Amino acid sequence: MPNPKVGTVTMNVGQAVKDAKGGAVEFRVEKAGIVHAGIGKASFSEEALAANVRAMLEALNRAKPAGAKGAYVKKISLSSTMGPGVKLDPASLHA
Amino acid sequence: MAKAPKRIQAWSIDRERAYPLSEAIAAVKANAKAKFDETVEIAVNLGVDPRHADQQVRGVVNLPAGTGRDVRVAVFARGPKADEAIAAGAEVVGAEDLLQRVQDGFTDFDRVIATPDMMALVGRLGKVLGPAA
Repeated sequence: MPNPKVGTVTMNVGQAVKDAKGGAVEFRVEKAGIVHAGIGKASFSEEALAANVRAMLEALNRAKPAGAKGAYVKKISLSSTMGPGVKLDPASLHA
Repeated sequence: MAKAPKRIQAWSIDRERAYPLSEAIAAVKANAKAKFDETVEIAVNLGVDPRHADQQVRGVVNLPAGTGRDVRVAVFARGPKADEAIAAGAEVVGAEDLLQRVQDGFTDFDRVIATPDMMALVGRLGKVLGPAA
């Protein structure tokens, strides 16, 4: 369903189509306060995956609601479809 | 209790340890042993309570390296905007005609984009498209 909030109702149709094709991912917090998203394939290079992870976290920080109190990002995990979850140290991202 | 399958026994990570980004990505790649190109997912536990309307978190992000998936795009637009959508590579473009097709069960696309003037039409498709389209 198109939604102006996520940029899918727009006069700038060409750009919106290119964005959708070029890797735009919508995210929404679920009821337990966790955001999930696919950010690539296991065949991607490590640099490509890292770039996607960083872009995702930046977007999350931009979307931080005014009502949020206390620690915003509590825990981050990465996993592949059938693989184990790997905890990510949030502190390592600022390096 | 049944023994864990070999695939799972072979996992080589410390589930308790928090890894720095580059190591975490290497670990995920090394442990993606299924017979297909597994999707890499991220889960972020946020300190928000989504039951409060003022603590909703939603948005879009353009992943610099893409998602690795072909996204099929349907566009509701008319005239020059429709041409623009086709030029940008949209799979299906239309107005009333497309509305009719979707109502008849055509949903072979992943994403819908509309111009503001078409929302009156597209609004009728809420039931078919659902919140995730």
